[in-house]
Amino acid sequence: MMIHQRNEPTFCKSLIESNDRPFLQRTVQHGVASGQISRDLADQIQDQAVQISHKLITMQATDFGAVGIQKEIERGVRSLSIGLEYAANQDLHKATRLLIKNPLVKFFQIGNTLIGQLQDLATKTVKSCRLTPPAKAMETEPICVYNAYESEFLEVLATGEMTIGRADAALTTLSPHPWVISCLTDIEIANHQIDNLNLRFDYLRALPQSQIFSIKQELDAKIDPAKQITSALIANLILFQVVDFDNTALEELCVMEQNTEVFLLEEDEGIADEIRAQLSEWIKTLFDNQSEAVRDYIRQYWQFCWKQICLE
Amino acid sequence: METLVNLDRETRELLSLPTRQAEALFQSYVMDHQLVLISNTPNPRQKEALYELVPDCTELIQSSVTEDVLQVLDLHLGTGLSSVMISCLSADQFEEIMDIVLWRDGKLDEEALDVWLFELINIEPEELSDFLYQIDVTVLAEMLRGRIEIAGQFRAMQIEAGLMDPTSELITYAEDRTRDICVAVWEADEELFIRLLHEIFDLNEADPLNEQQRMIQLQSEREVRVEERDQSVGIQVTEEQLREKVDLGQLDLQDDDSSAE
Repeated sequence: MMIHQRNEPTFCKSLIESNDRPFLQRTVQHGVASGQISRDLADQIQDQAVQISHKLITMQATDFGAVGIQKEIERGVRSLSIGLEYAANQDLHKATRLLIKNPLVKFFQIGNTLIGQLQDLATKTVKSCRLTPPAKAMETEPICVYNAYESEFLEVLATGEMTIGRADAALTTLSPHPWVISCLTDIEIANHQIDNLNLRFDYLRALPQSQIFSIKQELDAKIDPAKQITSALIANLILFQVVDFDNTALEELCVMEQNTEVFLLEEDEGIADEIRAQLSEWIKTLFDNQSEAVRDYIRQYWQFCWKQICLE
Repeated sequence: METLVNLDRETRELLSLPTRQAEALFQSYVMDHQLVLISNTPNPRQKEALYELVPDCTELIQSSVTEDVLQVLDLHLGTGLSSVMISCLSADQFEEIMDIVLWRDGKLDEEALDVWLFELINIEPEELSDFLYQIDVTVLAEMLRGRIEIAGQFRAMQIEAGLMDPTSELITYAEDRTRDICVAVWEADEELFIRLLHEIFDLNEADPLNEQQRMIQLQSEREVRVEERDQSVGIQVTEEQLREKVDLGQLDLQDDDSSAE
């Protein structure tokens, strides 16, 4: 019987060649073009990438079909690329030098650590960003600081995939086609978005908790309780200059806009300077003991909520 | 590159022929070329279609790289249909596949244990016994844990005394397939069956290793096998390296030419 000799990992060689490898690919191209990386070395780098992807498939894949394997290869190559990008501080010249002098697996370890930390942070944030009721209102459910989009963003991020192209004060949309974390920018955006959620958590914690947990109107935990609380607060401050979370002020604000010539937003949907200044003043008064970062975030978030009030 | 393109075209053309013609053509190739065509196609369904072009693909499967076989097996996992192909595997291939599919990130994957138990039960009993020896008894016990109960207070004694066989009325099974596996183990090796019960019910008092230590030992035995296989095909990167986390504040990298460019 003729025995077929194994001489290379066959899972991925042809697939990896067609893979999109932004920073790693640019580095190899740069190295080859500048004469620092020989064709032989480029081949060796590719072989190492193939070996890493192959090992990842045998270690982690649960789906050995073409799509499942392609996904694992993509993950491996993206981790490599991010690791190199991080180690070289996004500098192609430095990346070329590092690539020549270090085994490729080092960059995988760096990228994998970065992505792993981000995944852990996403999982932790899902659990931690909830307001727990004060002791006397223990039977009340905790309030989620994040909205339904942000909840999905965190859940998908915990699997190593991205759904947003930029960070915002609050997410109002997600890409319907998540992508594997591909570059350092993805990691920075995701971290920024999580920072925003933590700042929102600090902001909500700075509000009078007993009042929040005794709001008469039911908070829709599945939609956006933080926005609901903030919108009601802003409406009460604008109309009655009191810290209250009663929703009727919000309804009165809308009626007022319909019945008078007062427009809550400028024609270009910008916030009027007067309102902006008024909101800032309230933030300064109410959150004086919070850090500058929290106050900055509250400004952005209040402006977001104000726009939502006006547009709804 | 030109070779790859030609192989792709050859597979496409071969599979577009009427079945009889495709079989005749494929069977006219030497086995090495048949294997090259199978390995070259990334599509598991095409791989399967190629295997089906020979009347008995046992030799072809046993000469294939495990990854190719695994991709085809994966097509039918959970349906029981993979058992036909599993029966064609060599013992070494089966062991290699178990080392891949039952473990995830160095730990036993419970879902995979369940899926593969289901596949194993569909294998003919006389063939199954060969494969059972390739699975460590601790792994086998993990597959069956929670699916078997033994009535009575003196089960250790009853097992020891050889009073237990898979048909014993004292044993209740969660489902028939668990009973079938136990019967297959019994028929293959009575001693193995007794050891299996010891593992399932943690009765290994003579064994100096507790369950956790045994699992660590299993993991390291598997890692040794995986590394040996990897080295034989020139793979130098290890699972341990890929699992290693680094201190991002202190990267241990060579960059002694910082003045360059």
